[in-house]
Amino acid sequence: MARTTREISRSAIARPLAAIGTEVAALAVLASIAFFIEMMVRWALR
Amino acid sequence: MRTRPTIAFLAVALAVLTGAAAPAHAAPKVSSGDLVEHADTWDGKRVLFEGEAIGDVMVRGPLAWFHVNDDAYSDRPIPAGGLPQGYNSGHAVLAPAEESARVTTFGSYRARGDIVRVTGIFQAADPRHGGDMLIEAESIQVIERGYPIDRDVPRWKLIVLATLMPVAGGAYLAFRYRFRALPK
Amino acid sequence: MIRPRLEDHVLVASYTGRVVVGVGMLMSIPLATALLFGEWEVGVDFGIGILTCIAIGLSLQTAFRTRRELRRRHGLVVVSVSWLVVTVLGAIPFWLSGHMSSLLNAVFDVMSGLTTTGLYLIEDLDHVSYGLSMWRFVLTYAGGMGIVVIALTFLFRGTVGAYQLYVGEGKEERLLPNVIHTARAIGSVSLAWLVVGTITLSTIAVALGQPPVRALLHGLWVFMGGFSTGGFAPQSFNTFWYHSPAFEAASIAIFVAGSLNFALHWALWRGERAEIRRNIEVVSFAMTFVVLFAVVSTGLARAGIYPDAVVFFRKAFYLLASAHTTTGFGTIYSRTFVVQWGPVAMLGVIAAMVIGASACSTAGGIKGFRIGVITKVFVEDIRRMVSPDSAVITERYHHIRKYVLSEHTVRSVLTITVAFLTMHSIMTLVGVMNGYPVIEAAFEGASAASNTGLSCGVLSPTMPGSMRVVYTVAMWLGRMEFLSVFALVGWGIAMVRGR
Repeated sequence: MARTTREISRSAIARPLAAIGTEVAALAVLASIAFFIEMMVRWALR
Repeated sequence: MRTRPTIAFLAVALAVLTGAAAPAHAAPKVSSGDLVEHADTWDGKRVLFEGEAIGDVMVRGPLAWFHVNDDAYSDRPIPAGGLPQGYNSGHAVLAPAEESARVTTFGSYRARGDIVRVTGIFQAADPRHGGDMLIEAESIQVIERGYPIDRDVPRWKLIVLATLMPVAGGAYLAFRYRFRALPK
Repeated sequence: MIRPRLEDHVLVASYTGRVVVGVGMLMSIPLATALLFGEWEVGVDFGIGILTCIAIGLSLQTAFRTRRELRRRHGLVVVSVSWLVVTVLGAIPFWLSGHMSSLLNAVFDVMSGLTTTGLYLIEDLDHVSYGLSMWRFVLTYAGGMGIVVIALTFLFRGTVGAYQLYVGEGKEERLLPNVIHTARAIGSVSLAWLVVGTITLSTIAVALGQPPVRALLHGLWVFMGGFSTGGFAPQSFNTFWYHSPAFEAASIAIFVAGSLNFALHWALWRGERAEIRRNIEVVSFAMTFVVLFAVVSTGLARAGIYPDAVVFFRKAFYLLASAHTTTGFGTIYSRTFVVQWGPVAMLGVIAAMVIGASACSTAGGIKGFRIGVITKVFVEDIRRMVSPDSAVITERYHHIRKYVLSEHTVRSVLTITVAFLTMHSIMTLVGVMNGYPVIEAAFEGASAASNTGLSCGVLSPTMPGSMRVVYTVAMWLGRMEFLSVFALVGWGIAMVRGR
């Protein structure tokens, strides 16, 4: 199941970049939810 | 302790009142601590701010960002022999690029930066610039040129270093010897 | 209670020696930086530091040579003793620089760096040499991965007791069956991010108008301060220096990545993309973040300082993300929290710091995993109340794989959580007793104890000495998650009272 460091390093460029991309995308989702919350709060306290 | 903020506030209020009545060139001189602590009071007012330009200037099109420290170190930075006297304290300045070009030396380990006099409008949270607290400079004057800082290595540090060398070398040799001596 | 015998002390001293040598080797990075920029005096400072580490580290190993293996109790004690010794030795270049008004302040800054807190007492930061700057960031980056993890990667070959050390540093996760491989995997993830993050930040910094060399250094340093969720920055203005939405966005991505569990990074590296939305820590972080964002937004909307929606978002999201990941980067002045943000927004930020981010990451705080588990416990209890007596109720959670919530897990989660909450209360009390307002004492105390590093202006080089000591200890306790420190205290007690 788990792989050794050597096996992982074969795709040393592609996999890390894909992982970083996924993490950044998840953050973007969180940011848009937060922006929506901000709009709601501002609308409610208007 | 309790009365200090009140007195400071009155002083600021007085300064604002006199400042508002005076012409532009006589804008009240403020400190970075004052500006941050009484941001609302100073918001939108014309102020005069003096200190050492530090780090670098970041020119972006017609405007330039730089930072001015009005702390104890603007007089004598620690690398130039100053003593520790608390944190740095300063303010962000946004100036027209041509005004900022007058500042040539910026404070760092190697230099005391130019002492500049910034006249401009204080913005507590400028919506045009990401809500940053800044002084929107109208004019910048260099009132004292910066100077390079040259440091010689103090003799006692060299002595300490020279003493430690054989000590560390000895420790290494002893370690190697013991390493070989111990059977696996 | 078993009194530790001579062999036990020998074992601890020997392993501590190895870690000390490792830290001496780390000092060669700032040494090289200083020499590169012709900062001769700084070079000498680091020369003194390196030689001291080598002399002490090798002497310890020579004098206390042993072939016994580490047990659990040794591992914990080795880690806490190493951290103490390394903190004092790491303070040597700080102390020699003349930028610290006392040795205690120098020790504080090293502890803050290693625990990835980011509070600092260094004075005249804006005139600090490149060499000493590099040391601050190497400390925080190394501390983020764990100094023991680094020692495991480079210095230990196939040590059976390695896992005991690894656990002691607040990490329990095995990314790979072998702990040395795990340490290397953590190193690989950190390095991949280092390359991508530094290139991104430096490119932006050049575009912002910084001279190329400074842009490269700032990019590297802000990356190191961010990914380690440390919060050190090269200038006293922190990340307020850059005045750029692009730079802020890139740094948010970096510190949020740093706050993710290394096991999660590794799962993503293996291609298990679904993990990012199923993982209990990610879900917990997202939930608490959204709730606290509403709190902070309420406070800021009432205060009315950011009327523009986009500007409002830029400040609020950056600062809350910085607090919740326990980073401590700030794009406002410290006192702005008190003067302009006000108590509601501050409370939101305090809660974010207290909760913190993922376990086995570079972040601090109670941790998302524990908050997630406690929530599950509540849900389980409620389900039990509304179910028939005979029903078997179990809660599951997902972390790399599925787990059934066990009593044992709940017990350890609650113990550490209670310890954290107690520490935060004590921190607030200490601040108030020294004459600071409650909200400011709570804010600064939470910042230190959760290894965040945001400041609202309480901390200063002239703060009462007792408070600086308490803050130093709190940063240490928070980072070690109590266990190693308690093990050391227990060791001391056993030496006196044990049989």
